[in-house]
Amino acid sequence: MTFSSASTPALLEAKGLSKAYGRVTVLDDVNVAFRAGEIHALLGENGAGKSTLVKILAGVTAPTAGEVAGPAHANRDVAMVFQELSVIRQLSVLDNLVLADRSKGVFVPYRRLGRRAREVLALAGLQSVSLDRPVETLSLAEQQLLEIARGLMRDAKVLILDEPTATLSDVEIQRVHAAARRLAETGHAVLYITHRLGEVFQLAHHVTIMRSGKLVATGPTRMFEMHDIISHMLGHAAHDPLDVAESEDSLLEAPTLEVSALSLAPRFDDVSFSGRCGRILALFGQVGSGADDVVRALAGLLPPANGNAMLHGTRLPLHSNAGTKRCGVAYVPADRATEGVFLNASVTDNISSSALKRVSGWSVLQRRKELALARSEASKVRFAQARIGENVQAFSGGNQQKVALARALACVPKLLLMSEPTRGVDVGARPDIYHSVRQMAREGMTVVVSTSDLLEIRELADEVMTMYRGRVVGRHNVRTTKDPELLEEILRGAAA
Amino acid sequence: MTMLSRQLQIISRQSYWAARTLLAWGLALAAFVGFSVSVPHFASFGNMYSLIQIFAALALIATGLGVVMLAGEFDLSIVGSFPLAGLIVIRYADGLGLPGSLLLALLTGITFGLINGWAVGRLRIPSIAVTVATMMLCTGLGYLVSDNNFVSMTDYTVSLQLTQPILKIFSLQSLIALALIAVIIGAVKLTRWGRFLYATGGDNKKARASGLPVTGTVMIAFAVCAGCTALAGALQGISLASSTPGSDFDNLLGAATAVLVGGIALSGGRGSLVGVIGGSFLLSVVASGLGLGGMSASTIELVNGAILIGVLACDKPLARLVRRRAEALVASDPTPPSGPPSGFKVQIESARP
Amino acid sequence: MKLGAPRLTQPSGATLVAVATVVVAVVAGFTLDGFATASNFRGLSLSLSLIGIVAVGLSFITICGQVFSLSISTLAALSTICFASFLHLGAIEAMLVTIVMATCLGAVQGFIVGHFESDPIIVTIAANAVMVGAGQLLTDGQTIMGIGDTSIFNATIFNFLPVEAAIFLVVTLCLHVALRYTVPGRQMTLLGLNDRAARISAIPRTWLIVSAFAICGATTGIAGALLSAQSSSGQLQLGAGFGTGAIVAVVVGGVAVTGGIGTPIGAAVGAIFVGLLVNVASLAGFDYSLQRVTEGVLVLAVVVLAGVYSRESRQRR
Repeated sequence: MTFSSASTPALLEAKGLSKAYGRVTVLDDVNVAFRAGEIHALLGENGAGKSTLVKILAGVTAPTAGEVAGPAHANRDVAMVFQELSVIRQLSVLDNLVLADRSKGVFVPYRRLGRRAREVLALAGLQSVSLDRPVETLSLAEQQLLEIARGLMRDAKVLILDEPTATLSDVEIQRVHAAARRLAETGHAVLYITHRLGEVFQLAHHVTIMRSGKLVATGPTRMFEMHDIISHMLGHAAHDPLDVAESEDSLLEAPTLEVSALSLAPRFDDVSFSGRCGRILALFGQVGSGADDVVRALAGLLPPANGNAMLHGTRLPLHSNAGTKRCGVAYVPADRATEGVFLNASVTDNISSSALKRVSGWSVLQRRKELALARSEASKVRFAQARIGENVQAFSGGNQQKVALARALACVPKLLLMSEPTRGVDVGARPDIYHSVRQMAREGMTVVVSTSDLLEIRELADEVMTMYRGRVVGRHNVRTTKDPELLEEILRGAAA
Repeated sequence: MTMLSRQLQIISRQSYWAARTLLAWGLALAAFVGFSVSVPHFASFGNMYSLIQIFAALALIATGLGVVMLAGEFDLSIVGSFPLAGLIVIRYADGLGLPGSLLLALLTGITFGLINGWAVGRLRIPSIAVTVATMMLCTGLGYLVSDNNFVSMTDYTVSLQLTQPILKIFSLQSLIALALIAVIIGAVKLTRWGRFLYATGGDNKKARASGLPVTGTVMIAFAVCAGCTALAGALQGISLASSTPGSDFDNLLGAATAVLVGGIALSGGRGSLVGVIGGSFLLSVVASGLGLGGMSASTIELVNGAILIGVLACDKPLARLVRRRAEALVASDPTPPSGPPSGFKVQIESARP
Repeated sequence: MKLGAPRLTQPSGATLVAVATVVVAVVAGFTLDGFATASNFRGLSLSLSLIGIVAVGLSFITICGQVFSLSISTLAALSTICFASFLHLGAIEAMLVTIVMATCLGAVQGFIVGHFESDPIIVTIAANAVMVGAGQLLTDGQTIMGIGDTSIFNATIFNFLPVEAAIFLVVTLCLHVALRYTVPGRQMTLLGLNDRAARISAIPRTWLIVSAFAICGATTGIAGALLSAQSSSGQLQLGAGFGTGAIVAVVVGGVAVTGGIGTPIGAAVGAIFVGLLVNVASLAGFDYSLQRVTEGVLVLAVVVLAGVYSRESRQRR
């Protein structure tokens, strides 16, 4: 395919785009063009500025400087297909497509839209799906393709696909790829954001790599090799393993946590590992790799179909979260607002909420004990003592996460589980959280976290276990392993 | 073999809520036949007339409530607005003339519906909280309008016209109600608003995020519900030519039972109004049959309540079962058949009226 | 102690209403003839005590995140019937039987709501119908006259405080302590604040919801029995205003309909405020219908203002 030359006029063009939130620059002078008939891969680590760029391209947010140009921008012909599906599960395929149609009129022109729907479904590779099937009976891949079809429904010329394959299996990925190729062949420009480097070489004509808000490399795919891309994504500084995760190897004892053959189709399969007290184990994988599901399963929130887990020699009752909690397991979920904390309550109430037995006698709460508990747990997570009576709702993400962590610590767990410990946490609060988790580990707690952030593993973990599509790929000591090795494993599934 | 069973599963899954509609109608017809056989005079024209009178009023309120419940909300204000409409019509019939007072009653009802919808859609207050307040306000206004007393109309001719049998089993009252029900069902099925309604009830957040006019949709839904309730209340007021102030939980109970029996999910976004009509028919047949069979009104109410509790107790486990099976289905089915057999397709398409 | 300070600075609905109550009472005392008299005080405390007792119980359901119970009026009516039927055993005994009966009926509803995760509003509407039907069948629509001495519940303590009002105070204080200072009470608050987070913390959800409904049932039983004791009779029409009255009190008393925020004392203050308003209104010559409209407007205003407030605080973030 040689038609992706500069001679084709660009459908959409970013000219010197910059975006700053306050003093933080998230996007710095980005110039890139997207042409019809081209699949353009956009690569970069978490926080590299990809999502800000595409939001500006799609017209969702305005840039601080620079402009978006091109015929597609003028006609508002840019459709964005988010990783988080926006199809409504209860409705039929046709109704979901009807909702994407922006024409006016009281009645739905079912006959016209039905025809149009068949066209776009064929283009998206869903020609075999009946228009009347409820979306919830479709597989995840089909829903993802339907999401693309929704974008096509309003004649979009540029389609932005945000990690469309993150949660899909191999066979399903082929269907998405086929759809993307078909779109390019019919004269659309496809902007394809992905973390899977393998598919870049299978699919993309053009590659753009971003790092910390800057465009670091762009060009036709044939100009790049796998290791080029990884080194561009990471930059040069990250090659040396940071030596911050110090913990005494003398503490190494027999494993305290033994997980064997944990399976729950289709989320994870045959996951076995052991955890030691004093060591922090990170499960590292992309969204949909199953790392987060394993942690939730250990917390008793996602009962596995097979396998078991032993903590200090007792078998964890993984079918109930009350049971695992009694066995000394505490869990800090990733989604703070809906699961992690009680927003409309004070810090004290939050901290004591998981350990009410510790602050009461004969079921009667004792305010003094409660306050003492809150103070001591707050100091463990380096939370400002003075704000302990305030409502959690008003806090920043970092402080909320500290409260969530303190809540978990309050029940004196033997095993601390965390999902994405610092997602959405401000940079200032991260070291505090890392430090307190490390401190807990040093005092003899077993800690298992799931994360998709490489930097976090460097800062926090002692050992890392990589996961790819529900399976364990490898297990390493963080200090002796280099970044590219880990990235290869979670992006491609095979050991480097 | 596995192919066949998988497709059977897909069909049963896709039409679970359609099956709920069929179930409601099936039960209703079975009850109808059963009572016709076992209760003497049940199938007489006289009883059919009274059955349809009950059915039309119940179905009208249930359709309104069904629309609100499709949007994932609930409307308690029916308890107050149903009697209020009747009181307004009767109280002002002499002063404004009947058309004027009817208009006033409908406008009052729809105004309260819009208030409900605005507070729920725009301010995102839980619908129960808002409609409890408007329920009390409506009940209070009912006392105010009627001066805390029984009211009646001096002119009975309209009442007689309204309830005069047409074709032996219908009346103007029931025909008006049934026509409005047909219009609403058509609107929900064919208009954009109908799609928005299902989308809003299915997933409010996603609907908002993808730029659908959720507030407007919810306001119209509450207005439709209030309009239906007001019309039903007004028609009943005129036909009886008298009314007393107070709260009327019976109609809400009947309507909520009909909606849930008819298969509209409490969480919203699933089910169809046709099922609601079936549910209303079932309830009116049961009420009429048991009444004719000599049961007291209180026993019938007890039966209604028991049916509702039964439906509620079955709803969640049933839905959970279906969801689990659907998940297993999707998991075991990464590559769907390249093209569905023609029989399968026809069956699915015939499920859409 | 340190904890009290930031809590008070939050705009607490109950505090506002308490202030408003005092203001209304003082103004009425100076301007309305017949307000600041012993007989009016006695009448006022009688009229608001029973609804107050119910409201305090209902606040548990609301705080627990289960919105309201719409079967309160009927449960109160059944309680009057039960009390009148068992009055021959003695007043205290009849009261105990009534409380047990009402608690069980409440707990059953709570079980359906909690265990089947059903909508509390619809469950209580259905339970209401079942109880009306059963009550009608039991009594045949007749008034049950109780035989026995109920003077113990109609007495006045120190020639000043009617027994009803005393029971109201005691029930409010006990339940307030139960909610604020016991482990299950705290768990109920947490459940109302965030159902998912509460599940993740492995809080015994079903048990708590059953308890909340049982407590509401018990207070309704007490109120129904006291109402029955006033006339030594029981019938299905008695206590008809309890349901809406309690809801008004709970909403006005600053208990959030979404759950988790508010206290039983708030609900009690709400009941006092509404009772006071109605009393003042009737002394000022308003009739019954205007009082009902005022109640409705009051609740609508509170609900909408709370909605606007939370919308603004949502946008500020």
